Amino acid sequence: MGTYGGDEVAALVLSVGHTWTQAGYAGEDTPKSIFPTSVGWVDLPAEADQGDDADNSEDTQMQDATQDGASASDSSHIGKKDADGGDVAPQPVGAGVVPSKKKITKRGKYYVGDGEISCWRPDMEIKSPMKDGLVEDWDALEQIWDHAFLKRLRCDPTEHPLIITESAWNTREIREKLTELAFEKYNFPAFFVAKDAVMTAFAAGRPHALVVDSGGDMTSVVPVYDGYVLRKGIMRQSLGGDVLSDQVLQQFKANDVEVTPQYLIAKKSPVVVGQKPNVVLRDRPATPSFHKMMQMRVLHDFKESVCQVAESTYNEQNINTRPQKPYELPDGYNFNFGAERFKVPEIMFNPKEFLKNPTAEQENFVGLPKLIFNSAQSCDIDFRPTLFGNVVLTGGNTLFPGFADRLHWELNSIPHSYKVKLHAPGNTVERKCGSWLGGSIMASLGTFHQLWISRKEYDETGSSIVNKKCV
Amino acid sequence: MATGNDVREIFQLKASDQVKRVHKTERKPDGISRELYGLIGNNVSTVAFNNPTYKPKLNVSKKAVNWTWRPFVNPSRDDDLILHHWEKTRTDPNEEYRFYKFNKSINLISFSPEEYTSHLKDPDWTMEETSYLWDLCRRFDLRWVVIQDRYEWPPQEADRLALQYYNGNNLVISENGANATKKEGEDTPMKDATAAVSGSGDSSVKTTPGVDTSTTTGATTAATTTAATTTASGSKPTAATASTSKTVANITPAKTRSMEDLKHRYYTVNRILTKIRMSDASQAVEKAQLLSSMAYDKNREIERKKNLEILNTRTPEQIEEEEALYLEARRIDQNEKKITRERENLLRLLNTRDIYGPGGPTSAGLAGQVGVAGGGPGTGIIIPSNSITIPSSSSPSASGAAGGAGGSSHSSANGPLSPSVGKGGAAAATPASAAAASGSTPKKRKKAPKGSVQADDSAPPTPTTATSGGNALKGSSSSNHRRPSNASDGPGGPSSASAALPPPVVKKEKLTPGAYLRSQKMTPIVSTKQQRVQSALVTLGLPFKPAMPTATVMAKWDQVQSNIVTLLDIKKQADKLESDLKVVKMRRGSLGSGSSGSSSAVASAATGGTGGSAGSASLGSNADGNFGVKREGTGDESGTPGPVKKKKRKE
Repeated sequence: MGTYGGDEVAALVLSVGHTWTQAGYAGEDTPKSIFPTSVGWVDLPAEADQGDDADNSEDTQMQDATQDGASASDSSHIGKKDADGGDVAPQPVGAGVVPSKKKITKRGKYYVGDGEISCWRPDMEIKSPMKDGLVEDWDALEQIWDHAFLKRLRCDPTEHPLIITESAWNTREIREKLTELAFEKYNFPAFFVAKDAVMTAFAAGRPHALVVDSGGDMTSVVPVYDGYVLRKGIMRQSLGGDVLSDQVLQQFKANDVEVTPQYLIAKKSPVVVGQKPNVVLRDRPATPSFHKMMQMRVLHDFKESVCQVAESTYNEQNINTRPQKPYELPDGYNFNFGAERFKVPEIMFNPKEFLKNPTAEQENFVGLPKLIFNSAQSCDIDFRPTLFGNVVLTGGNTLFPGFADRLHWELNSIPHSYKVKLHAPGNTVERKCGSWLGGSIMASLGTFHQLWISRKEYDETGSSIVNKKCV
Repeated sequence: MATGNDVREIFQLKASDQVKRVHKTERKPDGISRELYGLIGNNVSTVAFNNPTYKPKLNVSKKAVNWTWRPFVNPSRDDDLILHHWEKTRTDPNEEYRFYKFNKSINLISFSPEEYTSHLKDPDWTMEETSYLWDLCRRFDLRWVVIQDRYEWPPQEADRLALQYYNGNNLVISENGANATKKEGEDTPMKDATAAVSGSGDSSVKTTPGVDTSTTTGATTAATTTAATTTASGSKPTAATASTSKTVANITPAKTRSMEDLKHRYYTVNRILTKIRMSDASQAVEKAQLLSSMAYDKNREIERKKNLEILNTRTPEQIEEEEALYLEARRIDQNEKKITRERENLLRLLNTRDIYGPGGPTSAGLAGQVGVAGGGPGTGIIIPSNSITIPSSSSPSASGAAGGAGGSSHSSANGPLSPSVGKGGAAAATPASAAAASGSTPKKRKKAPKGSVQADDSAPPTPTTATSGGNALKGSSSSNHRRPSNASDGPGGPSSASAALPPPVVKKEKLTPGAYLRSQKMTPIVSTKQQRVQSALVTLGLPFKPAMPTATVMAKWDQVQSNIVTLLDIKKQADKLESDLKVVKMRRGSLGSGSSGSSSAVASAATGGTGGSAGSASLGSNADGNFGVKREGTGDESGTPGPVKKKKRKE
């Protein structure tokens, strides 16, 4: 009764994004657990495929431990983590579940969680179950759910209703499968799927909103009317934080600077600004996906600590007068970044000009203001003023300093006669976990409880119930 | 610590009583509240003390409220999902779930298949589509934006199922509500029938018939008498629609409709249904209210949205231009106001002159002498007042010009001249005569009744058109109509009229109380005009002051001076009009060939522009005609009126 109109039923809230997964209890203001959505996968040798499950799991764990011990000198902590972190699952190779392949199932081991996946293992592939906001790899997703409910929240799923968020353009099949997963595998008593854009709008306290979500792999603009997503107004493009990181990487490469992640560095000593790093590397052969992920982490850190958005139109002269910011890569190379640090986020606003070496798809990217404007323009004219008055900014990629100011400026410079009001929570957690927060709010409302899909309804109607009750 | 008493002791002063009194507070008698006693008691303190408020101490003695973790069922759900929550230990075990009361659904007027076939047919809509729209309306509680967003006909299978599922459930609920609230059997079968219809629309692909059959069976049980017919009719279209919907699904691609389409259909159907059902006379008021609430003008909505669109897609340059135009318009408006004010001042000035009159200075002794001319100067004054009416009546035209957007090009061209803009050229032609006839001052009308009659012949003199009638035209028309009228009754009429009138001097003389100098009776000249008046006097070959200031001379002198002032004012007006005219002409030249209507209006304006001067001229001549007597009477006294008149004509 703490909140107005609230009625806590101890629901769980799970939001699986492209980069981060957030899990927690409804009614709280921060997720209990935030961990990367990416999972690690290690193929196990074929000979392990004999005997029963229990033996196998022991085998694999032992094997892992020996691998770690043999290959990494300082991997004692890794072995420890492994003991409770790893998971053995029957796994068909590749993402899709193909029945024909089931016979030749390879056994493998999943690693979920920040500590697990960032630890170097030879042959560990990193993959994300999500692509374009849609679930692609169901086994990996199951691992994530397992990790969230059993390892992190450590709760009994049969006791809590579950609400999850999904992208606004999620397909029927995926939602049905999610429902199946929730009821068949985890036996949740009640379940609900909510659109992340709607949840973000709720987190900002708005029934109507134009939700601008810029995340790791994509940027989307979704109009929300009274808690309903307007499908015709959804605009998205796969221009997100990863593209920016990739651009930074390219930039480094062009300057003949190698981005070496921490896991490869054994010893380093300080060097003068702009000089080649003086570093001793470890011999740690890793899969390309793992190496890429670790590189991306470095670049992510680079973006967080250096990059900034120009307040108004990008102006090289003005930018050059700004103070430079030093940044040191893990291998000791350091440099003072001036205009470069403004150019990176500028891609979000003007991809045509600032995106280097674009692929065929990236050629068609439009700036974020244009995307927002197009989305609003595709809605009814009577509704547009409301949309412009309730632009809600969310997603980690919007956390560049000056991003909100710039966006506001840009939206105002497009000719229209609406009053633009931008809602961008200053709280970083709120901006990163907007959709989770909305789910947390909604699932703790007394009036919401009539909307749950109950076990009984699922049994009566089947998984298609989700498309009837959650729109 | 040293108190005030100690200090007093040291200085050997008498200990003050006051200090003591503070300590010696009397006990509050019982029966009076503390606040009241504080107000009326002995120790009224003038300063209110604000005691600092501290957080109230935790009341440990109070028993904590018990909370229990207990299961609950939400009656809003039609399954018995049991969730658990913490709640205060309740005394009443059967307490309803607190949030149940928030579960509201809208009431839609539904229709039966018979009603549809008899009243609601629309070439653009099938019954299935209409009921699909109804389903959507119910599903999204008439959120039109969402309905339009999700509208897709024919719907995808899954969508259809979902809707069916939702509305099936909903219908059961609403039906119960209907049964509970409305006692008539007439309503329930209708709802059931629609349930059957909506079911039938979907039934071709029905996978879960449970819901629908339950509703139809509900229908048969609920409606006793009419059930047979409704179910029969309900089942008939079922077969038909099942086949049609299939074919429709096969043939037509998914079509979307605009929100206006959807709304139009919804409100039309609702209106028709209301009309059919509320046939009782007793419900007339309610019906009218309902109908008016359901009014929807599709075309107007489309137009409105189109205009909004245009409004919102203006470029900054356009907005800037518009703003500039707006500012300009406001400036013009304000200028008009200023001019109007000036004119009013002028008019007032002239009127006061009228009041004082040139006869004013002619004091009692002169009254007899002025006798014949008594009418003369009095009416002589009317000349200016008449000529002034041109600008004065044009002052409303100023606002007209500002307001009239349609003909603004020529309205601004007309400038302050013609108020006829709004009325259009055709109207302007006829009221002109009326305007001319009805004149601007009632006095004038009295003076020339025949003129007005004549005008009546040509056009009905509606006062509005008279005042709003183009004064430019009035100018010209007055020259057209007025002159002959005056000419006709020229020699005899007006003079007799003026003779018949009581001498205005008597009426208008304002007697200054007490003793006064005669010089006080001289009309004062505004200091700003003094110089120009003097220069005019110089051109007339007159001295600044009369050499022999007798009463008669001074009366004349005063008249001359006031005439000069009037003339100057008129000249100013004429100059203004002429410059306006010039601007109009230039603009007209630049505009080239406008539409015929506007060009004619411009032409009229142009003539009006000249008419302004022509009008004054005509009035001048009019005055000639009218006051020939006066001229004869006064002409030889001093030569002044002559040149004055001449000057007037020059204008």
